Amino acid sequence: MAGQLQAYSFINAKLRARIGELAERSFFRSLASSASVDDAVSSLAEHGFTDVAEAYRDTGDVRMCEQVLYRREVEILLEVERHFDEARRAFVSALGDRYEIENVKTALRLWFESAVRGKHVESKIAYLSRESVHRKVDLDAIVNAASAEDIPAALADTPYEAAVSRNLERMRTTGSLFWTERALDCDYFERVLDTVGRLPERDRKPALDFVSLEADRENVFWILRGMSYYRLGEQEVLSGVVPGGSMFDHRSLREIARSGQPASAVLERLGAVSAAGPRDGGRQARELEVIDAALDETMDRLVHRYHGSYPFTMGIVLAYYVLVQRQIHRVATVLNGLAYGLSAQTLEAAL
Amino acid sequence: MIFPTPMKYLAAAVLDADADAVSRELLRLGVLQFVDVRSLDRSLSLRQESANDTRRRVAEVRRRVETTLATGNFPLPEHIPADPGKDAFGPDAAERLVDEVTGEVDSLRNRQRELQQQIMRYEELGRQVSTYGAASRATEAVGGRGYLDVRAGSIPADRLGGLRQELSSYPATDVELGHSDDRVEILLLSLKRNQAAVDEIRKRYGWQEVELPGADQLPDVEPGSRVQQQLESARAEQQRVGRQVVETVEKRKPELEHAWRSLRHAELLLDVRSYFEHTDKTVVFSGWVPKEYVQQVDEAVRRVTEQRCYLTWHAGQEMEKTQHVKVPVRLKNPRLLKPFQMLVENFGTPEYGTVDPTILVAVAYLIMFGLMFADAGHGLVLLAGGLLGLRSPSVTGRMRELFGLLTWCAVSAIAFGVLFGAYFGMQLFPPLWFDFHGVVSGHAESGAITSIFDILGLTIYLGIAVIGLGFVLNWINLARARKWLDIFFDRAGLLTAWLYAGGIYAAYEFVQSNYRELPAGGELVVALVAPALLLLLKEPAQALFAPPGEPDAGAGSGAGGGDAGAGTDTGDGGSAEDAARKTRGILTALLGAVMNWLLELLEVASGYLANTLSFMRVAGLGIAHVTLMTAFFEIASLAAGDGAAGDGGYGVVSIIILILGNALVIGLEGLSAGIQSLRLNYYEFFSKYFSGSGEAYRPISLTGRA
Repeated sequence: MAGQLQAYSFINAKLRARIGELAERSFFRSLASSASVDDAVSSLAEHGFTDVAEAYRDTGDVRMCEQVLYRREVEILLEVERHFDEARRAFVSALGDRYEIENVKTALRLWFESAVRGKHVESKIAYLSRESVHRKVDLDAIVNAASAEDIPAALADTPYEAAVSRNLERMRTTGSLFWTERALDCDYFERVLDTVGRLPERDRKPALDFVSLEADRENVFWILRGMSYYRLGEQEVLSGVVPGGSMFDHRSLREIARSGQPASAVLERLGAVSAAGPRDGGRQARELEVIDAALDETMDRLVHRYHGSYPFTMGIVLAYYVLVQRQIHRVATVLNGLAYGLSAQTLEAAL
Repeated sequence: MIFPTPMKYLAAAVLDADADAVSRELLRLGVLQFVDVRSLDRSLSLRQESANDTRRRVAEVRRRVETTLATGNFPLPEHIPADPGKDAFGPDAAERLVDEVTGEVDSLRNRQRELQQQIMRYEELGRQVSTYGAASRATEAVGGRGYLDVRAGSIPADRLGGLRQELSSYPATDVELGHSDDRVEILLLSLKRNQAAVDEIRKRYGWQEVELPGADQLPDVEPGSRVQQQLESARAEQQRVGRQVVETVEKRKPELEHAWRSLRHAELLLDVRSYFEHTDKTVVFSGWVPKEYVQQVDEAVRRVTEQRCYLTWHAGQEMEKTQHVKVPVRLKNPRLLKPFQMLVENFGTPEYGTVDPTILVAVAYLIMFGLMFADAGHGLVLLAGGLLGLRSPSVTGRMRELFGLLTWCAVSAIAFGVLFGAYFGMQLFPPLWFDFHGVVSGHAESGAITSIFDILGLTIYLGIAVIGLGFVLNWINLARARKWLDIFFDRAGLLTAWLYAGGIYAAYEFVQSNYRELPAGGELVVALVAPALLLLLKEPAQALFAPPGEPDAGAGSGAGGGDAGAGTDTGDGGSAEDAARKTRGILTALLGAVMNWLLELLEVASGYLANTLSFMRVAGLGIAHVTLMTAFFEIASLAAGDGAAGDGGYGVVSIIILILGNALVIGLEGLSAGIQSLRLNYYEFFSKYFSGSGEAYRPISLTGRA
């Protein structure tokens, strides 16, 4: 107990104070009704996003604002990491790998689009975030790779090399990065779960709760996308499931995959069938939205629970992280939406 | 200054035709806090003005004007004219203006974005070119290395611009090597991943490969510096466009400011009108006005309506009593005391008619701060910071009050520093009162205060004085509210004060006897037992004097007991059961009163003891201040070495230590002393008399004043 108190007394006070500073949902609603990006960044500047406003005023580019937001998100994890002992640091650090993985995936997709499909993706390559999180990953080497065989070398000495090497052949035969990306995700969850196992007992439960919910979300959408859009078979789709889910364990995922109507089966398990509305043409899109909202609600409950319970555990750190992540994503959604001229209603719905 | 401004309630009826003129005049005066007429009498049959949509639209466009001004980093105009004039902007015209400006801004933003993409392409190219290192001469570059593709060739000179334009969507650049006939020889740098696309473009522009001459015949051009040059020029261009955005807004700034003023005026006018209630031909409204503006408002309404109005004025206390409404509170203090008014308002607004403690908070806060942060040198540093903040035009609103507070604290620190002879932890001049540093260090032998216990005692006396003042203020508040019974029995009433004074006397005598004996029995009876026993009368007195139909909460048990008996008295002699129930009721009430009395005694004893001892923190922080400074001087001496320290000289390291130490003490102790002074005021002082449940006076005005 004393160890927990010692480990969390400072970070808990700090994060709780910061939770109080997070913008209310109503702020994002009013942000969504901004007349232009300039209008929105003026409001953001008054709500602690001066850096985002400055990035826009300097470059006129919403994607540069996204880069600032991305850096903010990463900084939060790195800052928390610095406060912890080895076991806790390893867990938070493993969570931070997610950002590197997303960057690697983006770089792989861009390489694939450019080198394999011959598409012009120069403007997208320019926006690749090359700032390192924990380790220097040579994304330039990926996007400039002359052939698929050069990519593993670009990832040498990183935990991502193995997943890419394992799937080189499959990438060639299927003509897609699908399985490489799945392998990166699976490895990520395995590594995170491994660090959860090494956490002090009191931290294990909250860490597992959050990680499991993330794994559930990952698996649910993987199965839905895999079966509905990519027409994968049951065995194939189940082989890409990441470990660690709790609401949707392997058995229930198999049942969902076998059901023939995976989205309805997921809704049933989430107890949200009625929320998807009548069975008509628009149901499929609605189902995905409802599933997304239901999983968000479950996360809300988790955040609420750990925010209000015994304060000296990993729960408060993860609750704060989820809240900040959401806030950042909301800002990014509004800015992008405004840049693309979406209406206030559409934006509000997306929030 | 010691009491909030007296308020008057205005109930007015004017003709519908005069409503516009009246609303403009009221807005110009800006002293009326409107009240919904129907909140006082729900039975009135009135029709409210419905302008919600218009107001929403005006507010929306006004906000767009604000953000457009913010795009150019321009603050909002401070002044809103009483009459925006005939050329005032309506929401439609203002929106057109904003659309025009934002249209121009948007196209500049697009240009900025294009440049950003160009910058990122140059950055990528620059990263690859830099892999060549210092020997990045043109001849060595041909063929390319790594991800870079470098070609030497020539194209017709007049097609160079087109080639560059087409290559601009790739990370690519060229270096001119020379001219031959009508062709220009260039070194083309691009990335290998785009080789196919770049080859295609080259072919279209009549590219011919050339063999480069020897290095000594080539111009001294490095591809790396060429890329760097282009990168810098793109960045400069982007900054220029960024400035153009500001200039675009600046060009239209007068119009935007005028539009903002017009819309804000219209919005406030609609706010005023939203309180107007209509009958067939008249408009009714009501609100609160500070007494000093009553005549002004009265005359103004009569003037603009040419006496076609009906105005009635009611005193605040009368409205409080008859209508049970909360009268808004307007604190009126000199400008210099505004920082302390901010502290009071931060806690809450005093109730109407009660004491405004601003000036008392100022005195108590500054004494506490000074005792905790007594150093004239440190005070001078705070003074410099405070004055700098006050002089800065960007410091406005609450920040300005904070700097004002800092300046006051600095003055207090200087005054106490001089009294204690402390200047940056040193005694440059003899103390005017006593040597605080000497006392803490244990080498003060003469004077009024010679030990830490004396300092602790001093702060306890300060606490007693502050708490005593709290008692007096509470009695004043209760007397003004005509709560005569509470003056005696309140938690900070006369009896509690008697008990508190008795306790202090007993403690004082105990200390004086060297902790051996308490005052004599008779004295203790008068000092403690008598007020304690008198407190037992609280509930019976409250039950006795409670207004009919409004039993006091504290007297509930007593009254209930009485009722139980009265309610069941049938008048026919009563049964034995009724008599027993009545007896039980009385006993329960008595028992309840005794229990409440015991609890209250316990609460008073422990609460007031804690309140008084709480002031020892003032001594604690003062001692910490001295101790920290002493520690830094010790460290500085050690760093200087014994010899140097003994000579009274310090080296550079020691001086740095002393500067950092002083900075740390100023920052850390300054903050602690400020917070602790605030805490003592809020919890030990305010809790005796200040409820903070008043409602602040908020009129609708053009300036936001009052």
